[in-house]
Amino acid sequence: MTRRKISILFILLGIGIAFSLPQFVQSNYVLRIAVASGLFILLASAHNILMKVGQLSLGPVAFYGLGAYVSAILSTRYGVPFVICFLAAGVSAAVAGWIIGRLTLKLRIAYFVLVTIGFAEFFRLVALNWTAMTNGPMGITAIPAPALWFKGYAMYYYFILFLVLIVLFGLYRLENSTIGRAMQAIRENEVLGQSVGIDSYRYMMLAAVLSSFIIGIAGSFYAHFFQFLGPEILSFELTITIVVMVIAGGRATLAGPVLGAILFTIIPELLRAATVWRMVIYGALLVTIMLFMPDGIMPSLVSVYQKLRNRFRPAGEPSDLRTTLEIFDTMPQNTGCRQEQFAVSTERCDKEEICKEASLIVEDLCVYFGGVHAVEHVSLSVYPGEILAIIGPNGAGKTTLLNAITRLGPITSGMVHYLGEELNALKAHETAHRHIVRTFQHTSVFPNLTTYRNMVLAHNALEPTGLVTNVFRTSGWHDAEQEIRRRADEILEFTNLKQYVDCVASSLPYGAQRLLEMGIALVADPNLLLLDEPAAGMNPTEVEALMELILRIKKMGITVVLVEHDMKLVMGISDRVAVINYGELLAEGTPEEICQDDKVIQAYLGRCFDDAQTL
Amino acid sequence: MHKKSVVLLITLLILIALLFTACKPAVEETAAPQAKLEEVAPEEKEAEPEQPASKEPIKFGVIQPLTGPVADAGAYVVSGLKIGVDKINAEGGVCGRQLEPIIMDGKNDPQESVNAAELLITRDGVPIIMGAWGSSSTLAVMPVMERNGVPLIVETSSSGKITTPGTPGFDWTYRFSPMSLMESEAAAPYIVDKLGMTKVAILNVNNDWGRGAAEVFTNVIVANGGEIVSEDFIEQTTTDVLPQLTSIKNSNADSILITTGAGQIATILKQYKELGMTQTVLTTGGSNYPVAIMNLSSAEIAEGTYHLVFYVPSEYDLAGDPAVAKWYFEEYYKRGLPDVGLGESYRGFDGVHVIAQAMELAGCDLSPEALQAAIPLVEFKGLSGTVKFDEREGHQSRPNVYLTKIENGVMVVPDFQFD
Repeated sequence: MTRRKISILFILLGIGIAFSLPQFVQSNYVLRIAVASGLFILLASAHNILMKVGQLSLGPVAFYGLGAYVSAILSTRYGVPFVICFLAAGVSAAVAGWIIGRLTLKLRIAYFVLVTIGFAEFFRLVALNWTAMTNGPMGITAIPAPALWFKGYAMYYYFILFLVLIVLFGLYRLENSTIGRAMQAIRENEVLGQSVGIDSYRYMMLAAVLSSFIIGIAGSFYAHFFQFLGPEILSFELTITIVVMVIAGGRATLAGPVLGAILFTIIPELLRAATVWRMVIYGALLVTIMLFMPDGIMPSLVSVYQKLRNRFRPAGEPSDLRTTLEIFDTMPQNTGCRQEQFAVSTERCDKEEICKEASLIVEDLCVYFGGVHAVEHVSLSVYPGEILAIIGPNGAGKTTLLNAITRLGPITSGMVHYLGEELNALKAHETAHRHIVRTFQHTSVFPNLTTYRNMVLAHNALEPTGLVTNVFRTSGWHDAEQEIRRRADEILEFTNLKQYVDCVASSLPYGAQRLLEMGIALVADPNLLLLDEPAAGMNPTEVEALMELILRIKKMGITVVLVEHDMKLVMGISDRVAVINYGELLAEGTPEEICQDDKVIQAYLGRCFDDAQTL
Repeated sequence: MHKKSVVLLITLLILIALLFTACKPAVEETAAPQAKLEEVAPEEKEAEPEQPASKEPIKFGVIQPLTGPVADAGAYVVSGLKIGVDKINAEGGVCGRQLEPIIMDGKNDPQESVNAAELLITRDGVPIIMGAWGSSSTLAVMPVMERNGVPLIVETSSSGKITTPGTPGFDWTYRFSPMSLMESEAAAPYIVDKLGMTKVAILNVNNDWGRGAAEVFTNVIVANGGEIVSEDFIEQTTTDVLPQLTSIKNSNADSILITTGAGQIATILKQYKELGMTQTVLTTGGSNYPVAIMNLSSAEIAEGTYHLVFYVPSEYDLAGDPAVAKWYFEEYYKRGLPDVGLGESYRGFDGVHVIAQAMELAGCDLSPEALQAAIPLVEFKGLSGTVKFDEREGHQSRPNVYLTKIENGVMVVPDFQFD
């Protein structure tokens, strides 16, 4: 039985048990706890969407409270039917999520956390002090049930079960889609994601809106279930509970927050016997879990299962590393090697020949950081099909120039044109959409994912990104999925990384990691590839292999701009060399010309590379 | 690596074990409060074997905040409750059976309190519950009581909605904790005339309690010719009230009305003295036992302040039953319980007696319906006066309200209020 089948079996079993629960459990108490678990599953899963893009929000209760109050006020004051209240709660929370996203998603890490705390507190104070509308600390009583036939808890239970199943199904579909992978890429390495064309802002916004919508409808459910609503719903303690559920459950997985929500609703109930010691024991338990299962309970369960399985598995069968992170991943095992040859895109400039017309034109470019003039009036042209090396001493402004071209860094003045289009106004991910892709000076991969997954994520920007396409898997979706696999296999072959396919990127040997970086860039389908010191830290054998790889890339018709210190590499493969010193263009020409240039020798090379070895 | 997986396995095992204990916590749970009672009341221990062993104790539910920010207040109520239970049991129990409270933590959180109520009713089958401290928690629990048909005795919450017909669960809810309205009505004859509070600054805690008090006292003060100069609401956790006090000091207010817990009252008074303020101070709310306030601040700081209370522990004659009040006062200190809790602990003591009397009045029929029918007949002379639920006032009992003053370092009960 495959892993997928086992997963499906477990899920069906779970759903079956969930559906029949009210049949064999008559206890209102148990049902009540089950409903509370359902609410927390919604909250934790929705909160996890934001965690998936690497943002820790401490303000989920703001949307919870907003949804609850909107629903409660509409139904008690204006007699609006439940269905409309319910949707209004979701929509108003989503709108609030969008507004707050607009204001905060430019912020990262600590600042984002602080601002979200601020928003939650703001909503709490509004609920507390706008007594005319919210009734302040006195709360809103007599909130009607969703319908007259909502008599016992069983109805509420089925209702929340229905919501949970829909939300989880949607999130599952999302996670294993272009959108989910984009979110994973952003969490793993946002800048790298942008460099291969992933619009991190869009996905973060999508995450914020989606998350707040789900939390908003959960708030509505809360109000109509409890039939009483006070400002307590906006307490910071609730936020902590939700975050604990996500983190202790296992934030990297879909099942983690579900498990966390169920466990952390049930555990405090089980600890009731401990009366005053209850929260102390709860806290100690939590610390223990986090100490010994830092990734959360779900990933730990999976890894224990895996270890057991490995122990009883006949030798020789390949291990299954990917499951540790992607328990429900539907990606196939890519054991069968692809035989197809790497296809050379024909629309690119003619193979060996260097075209006469420049594709990338840098015109009088300046980049200043306050008083530091990192790039000063540099003009450069790159011709399709060539390898242009940019050399210069450390701090000369080479990387700043690359950043400016790929729009990851600022431009103070000057112009960057690519195929007649001005790049100045573009965002980083948009340059990737124009097939300009780069690598980074310091190894930049998606460190916690397998080599294969790295390749898959790099393809993201080339896939359909619509919400509907990805959740409902419309016609084009399956073709796109096929294409990802084909492309990933192709590049794995091309970069000789097949042997590492199932290894986590950060565990790869250094040389292989640098190759992986190139592979990531290649998957993103560049016409212009900018390599930032690809040979840094490589041993001579690895450099040889790299040179050969870059030449093969050139052969495919991809233009290469190379920032490099390794003179053997630069002089060995470049068609032209540009020298930058103190932000200014010092010289430009063929390797031979540069070697003989007095200014260059004085500023950077010393003596030419043949003699350099004897120094 | 191997070691780590062993630890992991153990942790998982503990978790799973915890899940399975769910099947039988009933035994542990009921044992816990009992064990504690035995600890605090060793003298009753010997009396127990005389009870017929065949007679099971009568269980009833209690929901109080045992953890969380207001756990101290919950503990005070519970300490009074335990004294009450021990007294009843030592005197032969109810219907010849011992009383056994099952005390649950509600954290003063609506969701937690509701879970606790549901558990008490479903698992322990209690026919009556006392709780759930804060108004939000009580209002959330009320629909659950109605759904299950179990009466609720409210001991602390002050929100007017609890005793308003139409609120879900109203039919099953009976309250003996007074509303602010009753305090203000009691204070009406003297608050402006005798205390001279004509230009009043209100400084209350920002919850239904503080806000409700502000509203009703405003009515009373205005009706008697006074005026409200300012109105500030502070968070329960606020420890710095200097900004509010400074602005009151600089206004033309001649007096300050404070409604909050004893701890925060003491904090306010300290800062009031720091600023050298001279305005008349009147505190309300029921947790403001003057001796506790003196102990939390100091006699000098609290000198000259007025406090409206429902229960004056040391003035036995003011209680519903002076003999009981005297016994209670002595018993409370005998158990080494703190001053600060005395003012609030009466809620637990009176509460358990109301429950016991309802059970007797129901002819020892312990069904929730019988108890519901019996509760309106209860007339218990307790610490805070006579508990009697008035149908016309929404199942609300009207307790005593007394004005006390701290004078020369001792609590006095000014005479003018009895005119």
